[in-house]
Amino acid sequence: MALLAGAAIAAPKPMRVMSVNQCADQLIMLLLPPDRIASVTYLGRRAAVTPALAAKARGLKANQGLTEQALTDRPDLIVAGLYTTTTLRTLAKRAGIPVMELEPAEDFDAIRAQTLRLGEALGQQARARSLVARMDATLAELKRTAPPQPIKAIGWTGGRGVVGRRSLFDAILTAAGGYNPVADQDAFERTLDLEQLLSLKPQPDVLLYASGEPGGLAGPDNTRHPALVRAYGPRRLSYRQDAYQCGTPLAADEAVALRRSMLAAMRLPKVGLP
Amino acid sequence: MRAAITLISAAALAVAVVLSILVGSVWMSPRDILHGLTTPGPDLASLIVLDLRAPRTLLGLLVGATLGLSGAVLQGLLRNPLADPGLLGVSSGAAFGAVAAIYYGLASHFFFAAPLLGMVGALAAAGLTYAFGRGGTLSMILAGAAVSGLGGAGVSLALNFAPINAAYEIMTWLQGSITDKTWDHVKLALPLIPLGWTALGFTGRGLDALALGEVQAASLGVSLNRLRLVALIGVALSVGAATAAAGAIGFVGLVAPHLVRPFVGHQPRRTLLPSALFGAALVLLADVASRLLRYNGEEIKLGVLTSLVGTPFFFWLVLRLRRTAP
Amino acid sequence: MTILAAENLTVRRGGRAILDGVSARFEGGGLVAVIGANGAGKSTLLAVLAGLLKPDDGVVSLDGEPLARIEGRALARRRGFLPQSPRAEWPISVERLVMLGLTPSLPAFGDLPAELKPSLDRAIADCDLEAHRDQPVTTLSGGELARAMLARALVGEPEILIADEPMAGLDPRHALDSMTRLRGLALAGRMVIASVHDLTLAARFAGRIIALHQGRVVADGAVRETLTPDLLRLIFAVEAQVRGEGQGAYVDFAAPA
Repeated sequence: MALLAGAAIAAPKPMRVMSVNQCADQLIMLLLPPDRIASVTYLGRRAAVTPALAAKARGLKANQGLTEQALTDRPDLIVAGLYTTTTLRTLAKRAGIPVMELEPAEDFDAIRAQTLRLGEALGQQARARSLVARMDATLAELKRTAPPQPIKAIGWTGGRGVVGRRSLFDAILTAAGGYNPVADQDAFERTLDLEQLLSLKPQPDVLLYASGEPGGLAGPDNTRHPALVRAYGPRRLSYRQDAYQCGTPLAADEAVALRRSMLAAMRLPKVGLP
Repeated sequence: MRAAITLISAAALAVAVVLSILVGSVWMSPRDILHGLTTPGPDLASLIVLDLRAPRTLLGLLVGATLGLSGAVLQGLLRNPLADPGLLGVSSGAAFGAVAAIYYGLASHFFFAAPLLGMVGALAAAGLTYAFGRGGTLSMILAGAAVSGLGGAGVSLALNFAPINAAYEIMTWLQGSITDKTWDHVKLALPLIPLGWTALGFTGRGLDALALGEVQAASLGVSLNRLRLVALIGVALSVGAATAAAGAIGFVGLVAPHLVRPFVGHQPRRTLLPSALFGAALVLLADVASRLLRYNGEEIKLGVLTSLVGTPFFFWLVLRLRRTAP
Repeated sequence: MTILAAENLTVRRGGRAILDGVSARFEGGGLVAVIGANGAGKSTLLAVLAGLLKPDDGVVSLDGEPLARIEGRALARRRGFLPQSPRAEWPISVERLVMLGLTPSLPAFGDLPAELKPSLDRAIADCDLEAHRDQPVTTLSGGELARAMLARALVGEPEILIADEPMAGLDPRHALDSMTRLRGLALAGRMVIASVHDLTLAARFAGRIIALHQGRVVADGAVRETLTPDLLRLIFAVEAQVRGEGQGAYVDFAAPA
């Protein structure tokens, strides 16, 4: 859902947009030509989800989400996340720069709504509609070719627990034809330690775990724990955490990739435990 | 009395080892375990016991004994009941090394980057402490404090600049835990820890003589410089490896010597073995408790638990010292 | 016979000579009292004689061999040392404390070898500590602690005993007791060198007096020859003289000089 902070938006079609949130980075890079992007976050510029976005990001200016940068740069609109500092929001408002907040989009309906709304605010309705149409077509194709039995898959965060239902991860997993047999209906994450994970009955078909950004950081080491390797063998698949963090139309492509790697893993022998 | 405390601590340790193998988030009866271990091929019981609980137990034993032993040696060497293995800067050196490995992402490429760099950090810290602090007990304590400060500053610096995932991982590591440790962690710590223990074991006679103060000890032919060096090497090797493998686990090294000292007539040499046994029992029991004390299903970290339990003891110690001090 | 010889000892601290060319030779039995005002260099001289402090210049040798060349434990077996007001750092028992005196003869591991047990018993008996054997040393009175420390210094039966102010902090009765014990040891053939603050005790018990003044030996010899009014005036800046003989000797202070 997109919220417009106050009715202070003077320009109906903002010319230059600054993003101070990693997920907003991806969305405005998808929706806007480079000359209309004032800056994106240094994190968003570094961690590019697709090669196309990476190429686009290279030419852009980076910001550290600092209030001073926003005030000196004077963009026509700031797109922020829920956790953007109040200082930046207050001062930007005082300086007459409108701030638009993006809530995390945790499923495809939310992605659709948020993309269209942001497209409208940026005056890029056509571009937003075509991104959404492409996403919907991909999702329909995934549904049409879904495996007859959902693949039982668990996203293990390493040490702490499994990814729950109310998450973008679960939306992507479901679209890919997977099914999480343990996640609670409304939990973001359910605690499950290594012993409990190993004792799950029946044992899930594949184990998914997050890997870090390229050159960046992975989760806790025990996603590579020898006991897991012994129990799941090659049916341990890593997914790129950064790609599962932001609800953009690209999430459908992640579902396609996940479907492919899960199906490949299903063709491998199941190690399992007696 | 003296044999009794060794027996009691050995018995406590044996109980702790059995509990550590038996207790977990998944209940398995001794019969399941026995069955799993005696039948060939992997099954759930053998996987959980051999791959999860056994390395965790052995590592806890090594770490706890190291903390108890080096705490006893340092309290004897410095004749300070508040001395603990972190005093010479070794733990914070190990912490800094491991945190640097996590910060630079080495840990995600190479499984053992954190413990390995932790050991390098511990040895470097010990070298620094020795370079600045040799020649006197007070200068050794001061140099240790300075090196600890340096390590702490390094850790804070890394936290300052670390991306959120790395910061989370650093925090987790700093809290200290033997959960989900593997045989590889044990293998990594195993060569250095007994080496350190051996060095520490040779300090007994000198520590006894130090009960008379430094001048009399020196007059009895004890080389204080050599004693300090041997103790530092022992602490660097064993505490360095233990911290590198398990993170910082506080208070065990402080508490264990106090628990056994009255039973051995306060003789420093005789506190060493029971203190090591008690330290191992304490760490294992705390680890078992950490598996049972869950909040929202999540384990409390071992280092957090030992600090929570150890702090009241510290207060008690301070009160007692205040009462008995002249 | 044991010979401890100091030649031309000089110790400097911060540009000041604490010992300045001290030479002395000690042979066989007899209680030697080192006297001098505060800061005269008594403690420093004893530490150097004991091999605990390396002089900046000069050499101390034991039977012709420089102390620096004698291995620490070997030296410790031949020479006992008692610092001023020794304290125990842990509440160990008296027996354990005395046993620590055997450290230079103990193996690296294990308990007291059986052949050393008689020495331990003897030292405890000689210093009248039987009743306190298992008592924690931290609960002893000042006099008892002094006896325990003496027993600790004697248990290894060293040829030489060097004691820094063995009577410091003791009441008259215990001070007399300590001096009697030290003289007894000396008469039994041991070399005993002690710094003594109390001139009356020195006059009564010592066979030989070494007087230090500003780091130099200003007198060395029998009590009668050394403790003269001139010497006392020089080193203590008081008018005083020794009256009486032997066990009846005392130092009569008249007035500041």
